[in-house]
Amino acid sequence: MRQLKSVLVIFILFILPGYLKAGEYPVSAIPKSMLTHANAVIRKEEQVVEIRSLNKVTVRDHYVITILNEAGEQFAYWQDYYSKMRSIDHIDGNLYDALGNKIRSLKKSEIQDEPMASQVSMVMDRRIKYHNFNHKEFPYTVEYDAEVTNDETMFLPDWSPLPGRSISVEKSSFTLVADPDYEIRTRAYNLPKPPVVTINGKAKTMVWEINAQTAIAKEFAAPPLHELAPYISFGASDFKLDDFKGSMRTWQDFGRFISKLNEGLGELPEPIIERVNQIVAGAKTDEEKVNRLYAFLQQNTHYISISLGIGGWRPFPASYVASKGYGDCKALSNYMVALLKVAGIKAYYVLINGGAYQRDIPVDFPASNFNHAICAVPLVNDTIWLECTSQTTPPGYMGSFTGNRHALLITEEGGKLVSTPTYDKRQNIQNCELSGTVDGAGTLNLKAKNFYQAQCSDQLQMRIHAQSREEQLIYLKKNLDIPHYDVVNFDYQETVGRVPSITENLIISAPNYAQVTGKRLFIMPNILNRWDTRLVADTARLYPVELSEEKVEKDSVVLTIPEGYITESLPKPLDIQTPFGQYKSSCSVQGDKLYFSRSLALNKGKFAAADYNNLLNFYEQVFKADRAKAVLVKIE
Amino acid sequence: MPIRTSMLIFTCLMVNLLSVSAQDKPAYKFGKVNLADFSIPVPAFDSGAHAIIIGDVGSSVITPNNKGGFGYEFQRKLRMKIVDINGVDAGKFEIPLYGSKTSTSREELLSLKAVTYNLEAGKIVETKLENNQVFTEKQSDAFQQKKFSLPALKAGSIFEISYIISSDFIFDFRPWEFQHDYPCLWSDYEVEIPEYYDYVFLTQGYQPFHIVKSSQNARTFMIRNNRSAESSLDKTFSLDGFVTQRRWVMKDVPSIKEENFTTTIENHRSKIEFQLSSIKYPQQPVEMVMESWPKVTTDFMKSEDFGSLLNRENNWLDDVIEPVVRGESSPLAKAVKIFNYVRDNFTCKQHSGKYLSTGLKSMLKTKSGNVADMNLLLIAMLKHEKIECYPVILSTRGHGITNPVYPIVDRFNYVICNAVIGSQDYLLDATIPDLAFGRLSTECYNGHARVLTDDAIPIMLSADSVMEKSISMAIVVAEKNQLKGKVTLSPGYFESLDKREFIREKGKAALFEKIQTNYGSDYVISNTGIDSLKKLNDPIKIFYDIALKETDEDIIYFNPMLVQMYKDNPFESAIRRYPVEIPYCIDDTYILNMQLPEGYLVDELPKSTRVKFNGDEGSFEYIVSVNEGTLQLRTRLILAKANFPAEDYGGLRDFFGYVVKKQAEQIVLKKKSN
Repeated sequence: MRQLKSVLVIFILFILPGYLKAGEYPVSAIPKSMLTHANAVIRKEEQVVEIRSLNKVTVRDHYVITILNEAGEQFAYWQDYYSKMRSIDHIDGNLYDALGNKIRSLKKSEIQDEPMASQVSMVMDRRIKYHNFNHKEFPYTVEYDAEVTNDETMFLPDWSPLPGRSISVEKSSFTLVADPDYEIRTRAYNLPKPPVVTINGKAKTMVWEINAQTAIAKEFAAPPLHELAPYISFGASDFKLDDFKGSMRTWQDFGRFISKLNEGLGELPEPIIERVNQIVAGAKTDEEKVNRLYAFLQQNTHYISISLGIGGWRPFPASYVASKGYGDCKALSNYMVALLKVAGIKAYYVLINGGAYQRDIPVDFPASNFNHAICAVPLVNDTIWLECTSQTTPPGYMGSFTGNRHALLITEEGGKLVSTPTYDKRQNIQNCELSGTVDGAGTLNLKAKNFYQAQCSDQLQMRIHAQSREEQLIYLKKNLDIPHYDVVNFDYQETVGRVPSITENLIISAPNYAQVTGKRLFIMPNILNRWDTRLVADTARLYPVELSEEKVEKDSVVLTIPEGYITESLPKPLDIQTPFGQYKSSCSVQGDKLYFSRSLALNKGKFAAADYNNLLNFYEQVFKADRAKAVLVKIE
Repeated sequence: MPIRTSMLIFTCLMVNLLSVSAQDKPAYKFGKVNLADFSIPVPAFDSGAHAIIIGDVGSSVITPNNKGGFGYEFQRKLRMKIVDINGVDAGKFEIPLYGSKTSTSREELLSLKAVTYNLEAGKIVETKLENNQVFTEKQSDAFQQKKFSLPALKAGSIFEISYIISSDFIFDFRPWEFQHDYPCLWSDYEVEIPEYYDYVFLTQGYQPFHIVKSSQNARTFMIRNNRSAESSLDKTFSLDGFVTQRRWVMKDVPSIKEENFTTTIENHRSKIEFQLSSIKYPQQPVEMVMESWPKVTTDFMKSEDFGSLLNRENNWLDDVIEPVVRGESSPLAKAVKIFNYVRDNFTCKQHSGKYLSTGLKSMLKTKSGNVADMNLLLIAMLKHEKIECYPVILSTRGHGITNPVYPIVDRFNYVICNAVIGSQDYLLDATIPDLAFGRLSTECYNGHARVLTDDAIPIMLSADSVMEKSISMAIVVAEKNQLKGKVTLSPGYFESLDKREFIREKGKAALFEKIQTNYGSDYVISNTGIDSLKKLNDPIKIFYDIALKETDEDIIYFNPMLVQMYKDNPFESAIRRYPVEIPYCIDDTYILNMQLPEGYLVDELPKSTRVKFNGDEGSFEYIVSVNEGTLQLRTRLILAKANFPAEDYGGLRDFFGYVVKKQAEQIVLKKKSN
């Protein structure tokens, strides 16, 4: 025994120093090509996902990342969450210097453990574990090895070997081990090679691998990362969530599962049933009934998320919402369906991926890619879509958060993929009519009538409903792009409907709006609506440009100018037609009136990388034209 | 007793004499909601409110706990009304409860009740909060939150909540806020304190008290210790003594919201806080809790979590320091080398904390720590080299002000170093990557701070004493139809600090891209460069060539501010209810020297002007002249103060309005007619 010990000591004494000199991950070993656009380099990463049963999936992730500079620090950490349905089994980590020599190892006491911070969720049983070496001598290398276990198969981990932009990958592999009879669907993007498949008794192993993947640079309006870099999305076939079993082979199957989750959650207490009957009594059409019940929902409930265990995926019962007056998107949508059912109107619970200008889900690859629930009411002629977490959205309107995309309708026969309403240039309209006077001292008195429709009204709609009249005034006094002004009066008129609109009336007084220099008066006739995006010139644009906003703006301005002035210079007319949009402006003086008109149409679409500088040029011309000044001179 | 509080009592007594019938209770009875309560209007002094605090009544009574000593019981009864749907957020509550990692002391939430009252078809409908809707979120071993949301809440609802917290922490006696996010019609706090405890009362804010009262009563306290039940001794005994009851009431308190140029709104909220100053149990000597400042120094310097290592030999530092100071003999040169070593080799994970988190020795391994870890390591290393230095404790601007009179240690959250080299004093902060030896960031300029010498010397780090001086220059010459020039920007130290950080993270190219983008396509910048980027003691200098687009127009309109200063008024709000706190004084100069293009004459020039604000507290000049084909412009904006009272806000806003207007003015050049 004693001898063995001394052998060990000798081993440590003689072998270790040698090892320290030549570390495993010296920065000098990184190939040059891996450094282009990169702030960090993944030296190697091995992820192994083992589907042991429908209730047990282990995910092992071992990675070594070299952090090249301060901007790369965002990749120098390990983090994962755990909950009743997910455990973190172990975590190890090491820190290496530039030569690849180990500086130190992770200590358990350094791991932070906190409740998952969430703005929308009041209570959540998810907690976060986080570790960071906080090293500062660049470059350095971190290594982490972690294992987690999921107690469900509804959400299989995806593989995105590039965790972000500005990071390159020397070598990364993803191994999926499952029963050969268990069907797993895959959707791969930008992968040069198919997986290597081996079957060994009851284990089928698939290994994907990439080598020498250069970093994806950060660029304005570039496509999402997974369209530019290797990425695989996995879809389960049969799966389990808690005690619920389902299949995801088709949208229909997946919908059936959701409908099973929601089963029996639609019962309402007697007083609410009575209340519903009172509310719909006398309503002439089904649409009127829907509107009345939606108003009832909006006035009596609000959004609070309590997400514990399966509550993250299964709604609280309708009776819960009835008594508490709150719930999350699932609970409130389920409640709305229940209310409508009492009134004899068939409505559906709908899963959707919410987010402003979010990209659509892959329609031919059923997977659980949803983050939100809404309610759909098919009537004879069309469908009324209801956002149940909002107290102010008009019935039937989806806006930029849920419009223009596919969603999964949960019916008795299972899931059906449907499209939510589309809002394009025909609906997204902004028309502003301004009239006013400018006096010889430069003071502008202005009346504006601004009309906003569909997605052009989304932000305004939310703001005016979130603010009292006093707060609206404070906001207006702070936020117009005029150096010095006062808001004399204002009001808002809303038109609700499938395509809602808001008319904003403003009366503004702005001293010094026009600059007076001696005998001249400089007036910027475009007063309230100036384009303000300017792009950075880039001669080596790498990726396509994707524009997601689509709208038409029309502005007309009439200003009465003071007596005794003549026109010295006017903004030049402009008429630009580009694939990204059109812009037209003109300015004239007739008698004592200065006229300015402007129209801007923005197109959505995907454009070649080479078009980037044309886009920059388009934005720049609009930026300038929107700020051009008219110059008047006093007749002496 | 602080003078401020006795003054207030005096004024309030006067008020009470004048109006004997002054209301001394809230205008409702807790737990009884009447139909009339639903028609309480939004108060005129806060007419945009989404919810109203009808009454917030609290009391804290120091009373024996069952651990053989005293604790306190805090009770709160709150009634609110929801005005509109945006006000339902007022019905979300998080009640923090603290424990202790080192003792059995803790806080406990007792008898929480919450009820919503709605008026439905002329009838009042009650909905109670169910126990299973009260959630516990554990934040750490010694801190948890109880979370709940009032049920059945909608526009027009009234709700009431009441709860009791029993606490063993008489050292952290419960403060009271009179001013909240919502207007409050009645805020009422009463405390009962036995004669054994002497507290200092600290009030702040700008709202007057409606009532301030105090009275004394006799009490018998039963002291018991349930924890030692196994002991044969009877642990229960009684104690006779006096208690003092005090009550503070405010009426009609408007809500408070944070505006630009505020250190932290917490400095301005109306509230009262308590600091235990001494304890005197019967037949025992007085135990000082809030000590003198010198005692604060002693405690800090002895503490394992602060200075216990600082006065030792610290031979463990020998090998660390030797290569750092090798070859240096002067103390100043050594100090600079050590400072740079700490700054450049360690990461500050948290810019808040007056106690060690990692510890000095282990930091050598982890290479990171909080502000105390880093700056105390700096001190240990300087002391190792026999350089005289002391820790300085302070509170950063975002953390609120410290009290210069009472040594309230809780208010401090930051440690820096005061080194005395030769006859010169240096304040050092090694936690910020680009901060030079002897410089502090704006966050430290927050008034009173204490140097932990034996007698704990107070120093003032006032924003009024810091001047951010910047000079921008442009020289423009005319070449045929094109204007070309050179621009040099010399920003102040703090702006340089921001720019250095920007460059460190995004690179120089990104900085110039930003400048180019701001100019737009009419101007092209080239030959860019930055000086003094690594000379951290000095501000940086940015320079570039600029070329204006070629023109042969008959008339050229030209804004001479080639370096934009104020495009918009930074003081957006029309009114302000509390002081303006700018991080530093300002002295901005811009100089343009421009050769006019050949063939053009100046047709019009902006007027030269000088304006002043509040005597010499602010001034702006705009001096322009043309002489033999050369145009010269000089603008200078000075704010000689950084802190302004609320009364000055309107004037300050108008002053900046004028600056914005003047800087937008144009020069007109006209082609000579042949």
